[in-house]
Order: sequence, then C-alpha cells, then structure tokens
Amino acid sequence: MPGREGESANATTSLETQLSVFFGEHYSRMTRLAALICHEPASAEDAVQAAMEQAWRRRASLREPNRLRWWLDRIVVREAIRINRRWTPPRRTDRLTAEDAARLRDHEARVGPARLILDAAFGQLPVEQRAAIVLHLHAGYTVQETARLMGSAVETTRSRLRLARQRLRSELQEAMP
Amino acid sequence: VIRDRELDDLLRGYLADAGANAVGEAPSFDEAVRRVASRLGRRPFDGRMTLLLVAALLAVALAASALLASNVLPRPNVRETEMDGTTGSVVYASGDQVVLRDMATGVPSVLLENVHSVVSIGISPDGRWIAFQESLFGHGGPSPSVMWIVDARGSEPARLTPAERQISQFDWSPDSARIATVLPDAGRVSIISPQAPGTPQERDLPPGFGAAEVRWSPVAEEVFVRDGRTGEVILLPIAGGEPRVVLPGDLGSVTDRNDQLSISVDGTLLAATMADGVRLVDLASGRVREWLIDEVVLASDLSPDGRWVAALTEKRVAIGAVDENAIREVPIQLDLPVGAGAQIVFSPDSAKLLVIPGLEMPGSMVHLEPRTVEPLDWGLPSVIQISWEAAAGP
Repeated sequence: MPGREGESANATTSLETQLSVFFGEHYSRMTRLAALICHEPASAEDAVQAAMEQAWRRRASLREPNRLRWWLDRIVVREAIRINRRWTPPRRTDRLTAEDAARLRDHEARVGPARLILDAAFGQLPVEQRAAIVLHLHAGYTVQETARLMGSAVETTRSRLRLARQRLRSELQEAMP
Repeated sequence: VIRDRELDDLLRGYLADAGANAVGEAPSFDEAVRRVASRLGRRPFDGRMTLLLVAALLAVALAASALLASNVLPRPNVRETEMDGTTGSVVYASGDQVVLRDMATGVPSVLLENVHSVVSIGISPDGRWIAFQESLFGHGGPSPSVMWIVDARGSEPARLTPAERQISQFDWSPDSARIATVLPDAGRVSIISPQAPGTPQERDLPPGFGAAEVRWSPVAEEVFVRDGRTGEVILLPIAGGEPRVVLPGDLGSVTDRNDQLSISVDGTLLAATMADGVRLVDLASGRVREWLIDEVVLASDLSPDGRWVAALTEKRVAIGAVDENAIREVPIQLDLPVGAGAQIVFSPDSAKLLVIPGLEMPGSMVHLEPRTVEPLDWGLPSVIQISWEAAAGP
C-alpha cells in the first residue's frame, strides 16, 4: 500500500496527464499569442501559465467543447494584457540594439532593416493595440471576434487597429524613406 | 507611401517569424504542464496563506476603524453624472438617489430617493431645475422612459413626457426655459417647455439622419444635432428653415456615447469628439481643425472661452491649447485609468477641469501627481479637479 508521498506523486502525475491532454493542441498557439502581445519573454511565460491555471480551474464553465480554442485564446489574451499593463517597455532609442536583432533571428535570413524597425515600433505600441493586431492579422480573427475576445466595443477595436497601423506605417516611412 | 495591404503583409510575416521564435524560446510543453500542475496541486492553506489571511484581516479591521473614526461611510458608485460648467454644480444619480453637489463647497443635497433607473440627467443653466430621464426597464437595452423635472431646492418631481417615448439624450436651453430632446425612433427633435405644459414643439430631421445628440446654440434659436452613425453635425433652426451641415460626416470613427458635442459661450466654436481625437469647427467659416490623439478618445470638452480643449482617453487626460491654425497639446502628464462612463467638463471660468473617471474607478486617486491634480474632499473619491495653466507655459 503506497504511503502519503506516493499518493501525492500519483495524484500529480495524473493531473499532469490531464493537463497534457487538455492543452496539448493549444500550447504552441497560446505561447505565440502571449509572446507577440507581451513582446517580452518573461511576461509572456507568466501570461501563458496564469492562463493555463485559470482555464483549468474554470473548465467546467466551458459549455461548448468545440469552442475550446476561442475560449483559451480569450483567457490568454486577457492575461497577457493584464500582465503587460504592469510592465513598462523601455523607451525606444534611435539605434537598434543587438537584442532587437536577436529577437528576430531566423534561419531564412529574412531579417532586414524593415523587420527590425517594425519590431521596435511594434514593441512601443500600447498593449491593447498590439493585441488587436495579433488577433486580427496573425490569429485570423475578424474585427468583431477580436473585439469579443478582448472584451471591447467593435468601434474601439477598429480604432485600435487603425491607430496601430498609422503608427507602424509612420515609423517605417520615417526610418526608410 | 506604404499601402494598407503591403503593411498588413509585412506585419503578417513579422508576426509569423517572431511568434515562431517565441515558441522556440518558451519552456517546453512538458515543463509548462509540470509548473502548472505544481501550482494547481498546492495545498490551499499553507503557512504563507495563513500569514496573508491574518494580514488581510488586520488590514480590514484597521480600515474599518479608520472609517468609523472619520465618520465616513463608503458610498455607492456614482453613475449618470451631469457636471454643469455654468452653474458650478454637479448633479448625479448614486444608488437610488439623485444628488446635487456644489462644486465650490462640496456640500451635497439629496433631492430624490428611490429613483428607479436614471439614464440621463441635466441641470438647467440657471441652476434652478434638474431634469432626468428614468428608464422603465433598467439600463439594459432600449426601454420606454419618462422624463421628470425637479426643483434644485427640493420638491416632488413633475412628469414631462409620456412613458412610451424613447429619448436618447436631452439638453437645457441657455435661458433655462426649454429642453431639447432627440426622439430617435420618430426621427425628430422635440422642444419641451416645462413651465408651459402642452404639446411639445417638434422638428423633423433629414431622412435617414440617425440623431443621437442635441445641443442648444448659445446665441440663437437653433440646435446642433449629431448623427450617431456618421458623426455629421447639423444646425437646425427651431422655428423652421433648412438645416445646415456644420461638420460633415465620416471624418473619423464615431463613438457610441451621447455627450460628444460642446460649444463655446460666444457660439463661434463647436468641438466634436471622435474616437481618434477632436474636431473643432469654426462656425462662421466652416473651417475644421483636427486634433488627432494617438489613443482611443472617450470624451472631450471645449472650454467656455474657446481657448482650451480637453480630451479623456482610456489612459489619461490631454489638454490642447486652441490657436489660430491648430490645437497644440499642452505638455502635462495626467495619467489616470478611466471607465466607460468617464466625463470631463470645464469650470465656468475655463480655469479648471473636472474629471469623473467613470463607473469602474476604484476609490483612490493617491497615485496622481499631487502638484497638478488634487482630489476634492467630497466623499466622492472618483471626482478630481485639475489645474494646468502653470504647465501650459507662456
């Protein structure tokens, strides 16, 4: 008969198995969303873990299992925004640093000046504007879906997208005339 | 110029690469699962939790004793507030009460109790009367509503409109004798004379005009009416005559609030809030000056003297100085988080700005810069007063 420590270890293993099944398909996407919205690895990691913990505790409230992706995205986006509000991005300097380049390293050598400028400018956007851009352009949600995911009005979301594009365009044009 | 499609393609490529890199650098799925399982598996009450609980109980006991000692009790959230820049009073619904408060002294008087659900409220420019609209079915969705009037010195309310009317917003005339309202369903503006009961005077709006807000002109028998869908503003003569477009529609994203127009006392300037900033119209020449703000704008107000424009965004208050050609933002830092019902209004002398940060505001403003922003000691912690002249410079 196993002792208490053995029971506890078994329970943890069983929980890990259940978590793996529940989040298996979604972890990579949740990580991408949080990383792009937070634009800072430590905050993104916190956001994903907090979202997983919250989703697991509230899983009974998910009434339509086929909406799991949408439901998880909503939780992770809101967590990323909440956590990122506590973090102040460093002010942008005129010179891009090696850290900026490292964030974008890729093996197909697609990183050019435009990407670096875009990365720096994207990091300076308010977190809500970043989230709107990521959900709409990267995750492929419509403006209405993006608004619902973020808990905002559709008009507010449209404004966020427009302001973000305006600022990114202006940064790109200024830096690469 | 980079077109929208090019920019979106560039962004998609960037996001795909940056996202892929982030996944590569994040903890592995197994590691993440282990961490979450460990956090979920913690016993709910360990030593730290007990300490936290004891500390929380102590804090609650201290706060309660401080409240009792200062004889200040928590108040319900303020909602549906009208701050009147002309009379120096603020009127608002709080819980089930209608309260009038003098802005200079902060002295409150409860005018009515057991009010069902106030959806808009306004004080007459002479400070004598308060009109408010009570929704029959609460705040959720459209509902028939009744407009009431009550003496600001206290009296039984008198009914101004029948219950079937849907009124989206109203405005007192400058002489305090009439109230202009918008009847969105009927496509009309209605003029009610509280002191002369009878059939209200009504004016048809242009077909398809989605009237959402009406404001009296301070200098003539005319009202400004704003289309809530396009942001177009027309000037409508009360006695008859063709309306004149003073601000074309579709100049920017409109907001869904009903308090987006303000007019200078001399009637020469009109400011309209848009989601991306403020449009200031010179009513004589029709010239429009744009003040674009890089954040979502919730509300704005033009100072009575026409020299300043204040804009409330989701995160801060911005103040702009109006000059001949543009609106120049005054470099002051007034960060404050605000809720959906946030409002701002200039004082009658244009020297101060009152801000109600909205329904979701917690009851403390201590993080604000004390030199330029000070809480008014009204027992209404979400109302603050801002002075900015010093920051504006010469």
